[in-house]
Amino acid sequence: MALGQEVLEDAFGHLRRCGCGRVECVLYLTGPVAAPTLIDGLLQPVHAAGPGGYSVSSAAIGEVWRELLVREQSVRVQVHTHPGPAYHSATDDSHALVHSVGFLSLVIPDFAMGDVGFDGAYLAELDDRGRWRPVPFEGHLELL
Amino acid sequence: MSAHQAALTRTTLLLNQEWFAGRADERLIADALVAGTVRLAADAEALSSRAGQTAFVTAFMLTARLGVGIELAAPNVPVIDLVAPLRLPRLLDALLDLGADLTPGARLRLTPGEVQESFAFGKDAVAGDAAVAVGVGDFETDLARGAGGARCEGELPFGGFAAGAAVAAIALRAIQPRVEQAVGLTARTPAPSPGPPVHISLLDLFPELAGGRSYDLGDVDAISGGAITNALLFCLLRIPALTVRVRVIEGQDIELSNVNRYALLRASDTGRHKIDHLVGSAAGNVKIGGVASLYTKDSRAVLLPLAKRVVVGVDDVQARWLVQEDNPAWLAVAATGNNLAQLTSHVPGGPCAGCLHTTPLPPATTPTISFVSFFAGLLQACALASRSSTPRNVHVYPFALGGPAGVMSFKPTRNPDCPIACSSRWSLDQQSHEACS
Repeated sequence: MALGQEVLEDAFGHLRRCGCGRVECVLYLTGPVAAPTLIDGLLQPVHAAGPGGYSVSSAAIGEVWRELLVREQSVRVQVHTHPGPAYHSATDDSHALVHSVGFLSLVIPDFAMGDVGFDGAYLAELDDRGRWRPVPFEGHLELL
Repeated sequence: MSAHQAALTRTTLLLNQEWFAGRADERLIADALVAGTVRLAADAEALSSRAGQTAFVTAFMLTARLGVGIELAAPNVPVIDLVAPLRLPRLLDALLDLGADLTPGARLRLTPGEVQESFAFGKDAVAGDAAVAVGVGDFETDLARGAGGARCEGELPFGGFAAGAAVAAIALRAIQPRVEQAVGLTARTPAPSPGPPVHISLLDLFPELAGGRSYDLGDVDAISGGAITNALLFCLLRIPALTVRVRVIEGQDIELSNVNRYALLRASDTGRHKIDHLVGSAAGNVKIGGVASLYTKDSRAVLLPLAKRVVVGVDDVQARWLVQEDNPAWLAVAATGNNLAQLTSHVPGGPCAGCLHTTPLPPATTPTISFVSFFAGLLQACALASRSSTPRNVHVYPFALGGPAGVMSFKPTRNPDCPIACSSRWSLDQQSHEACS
C-alpha cells in the first residue's frame, strides 16, 4: 500500500485539529476501488472521543460507506491516535471497521503532535484468524 | 392514507431517508412514484432465451413493486418459466395480470406515451434512441445508454436476475426528479449513480457457478419467509435442472406493505399466512414445505436438527446468532441495510455469522425497497447453486451500480468480539475432535 506525503500531512492535520493534543482522534485512509494498492484520500467519521479512546456510531459508519460510494473509493487503513506510545490495545482490537483479511490499522503516538511520519507509529494487520498482528511498514504501508 | 401509499410505506421510508434525510412527506413520494412511467421494450429473439426473458420479467416485477408505471412494448411470447408470481402462459398477459395485483393504482399500458426512461432488451426492441440497452448472458449483464440494442442470450437465468434488478434501480433514478418536485425538496448530492453504464458478473463473485449446469441442492432450511427468502425462491424456481427441498420457518402473516419487495407476492395475498403462500409457490423440483414458527430460543428445540444447508434472511441479528450457534454445516446469511444488500457465508471453523453480524438492530420499521431485497436473495441463490464452501462477505449497493464500488467482495475473518464467542467454541470443538481421534 502506498500513500503520498501530502495525504499523510493532511491526515496529521486532521488528527491534530480534531484532537487538539488532548483527545484521541480517528480517520480512514482511502483509495480508488480500481487501484487497490493506492491511498490518495481520507475520510473522517463523526465520532466521540476522550483522552483514552474514541467511538464511531453505526449511523456515522453508514455515512462513511455512503461517502465511499459517491467517491468510488474504499477504506485502506483505519488510523487513530494515542495519548502516548502507539500500540494496539484490547479496545483497538475490537474497533475494526472492516473484518477482512489484510485490513490495516495505523496508530499514531502523542495525539499526532509530533513530526509527520511513521516514527513511533504502530501498524497492525488483520489476519485470517481475526487477530491483529504487528507488521513492518516496509511492504505494507509506504510513503511514495 | 390511500392504498398505494400504504403499499409503498417501506419504500417511501427508505427514499425519504436516502434522498431527503427524513424531511419529506412520504405520501407525496408515493404519489410521485405511481405518477411516473418507464418503458420496457423487447424483441422476440431476446424473449426466446431464458436469460433475456428472465431479465424482462425480473425488471417488470421489481419496477412495478416500486409503484412506478410500466409501458410494455414486446411480443406476447410463451412464458418460459411459468412459475410464481406469474400465472398465465403468454408473457404480456402474465405481466399485465401480475401488475394489476401489485401496487394499487399503478399504471400499466401497451400503447406508447410519455415515459421517464426506456429500456431495450434485444437489438430490435423498439425503445427509442436514448434507451438503456440491456445485454444479458448466463451469468452477466451489461447496461449502456444508446448502445443500439444489446443481445440477450443464454439458457441460465442468473444474468437476467441481475439485469432486472439493475433496471429497477435505474428506473427509480429516472423518477427521482418527479419525486423531488412533488415533495418540494432536492435530494442529497453528491449521490452514487445506479448507472448506466452497469456491468455485473456473478461469476466474478461466485466462480464455482461455472462448474455445472445441474443443481442438486438436497435439503435446505430457510429461516424466515420474508423478502429475502421470496427473492431466493423466485430465483430457484427459474434455474433449470435444479432440485431442492426447502423447509421455510416463518410465523407471520402477509401485510400489504410486503408487496413492495416480496418477489412472489401479490396484493391479493394480503392476510394469508406467509408460509402458506410460499408452500403454494412450489413448482417442479423445487419442493417447499413450511413450519409456522419464528426461530427463537423457545422454538428451536422442536425445529432442530437443521438441514445441512441453511439460509437466513431475518432482520433480527440475534436470530442469525441463534442459527449459527446450532452450527449448520453450511450457512448463508443475507441481509439488507437501506442501500446495501449483503451476503455472508459460513462453514464450521471459519468466521461465523456472529463475527460479521455483530450489532443487533433496535426494533423499528425497516426501510426496504424491491431491488435491494432482491439482490440479497439473488446472492443467496448464487451461493447455494455454486455449492461453494468458501467463506464470503459480498456487498452490493444497487444505488451505486454505475460505479466500481457497487459490487464488492471481501475475504472475511474472525472477530475477537464475536457475540457468540465462536473462536473459543471452535477451539473446544477442535480439542474435542482431536481427543476423539
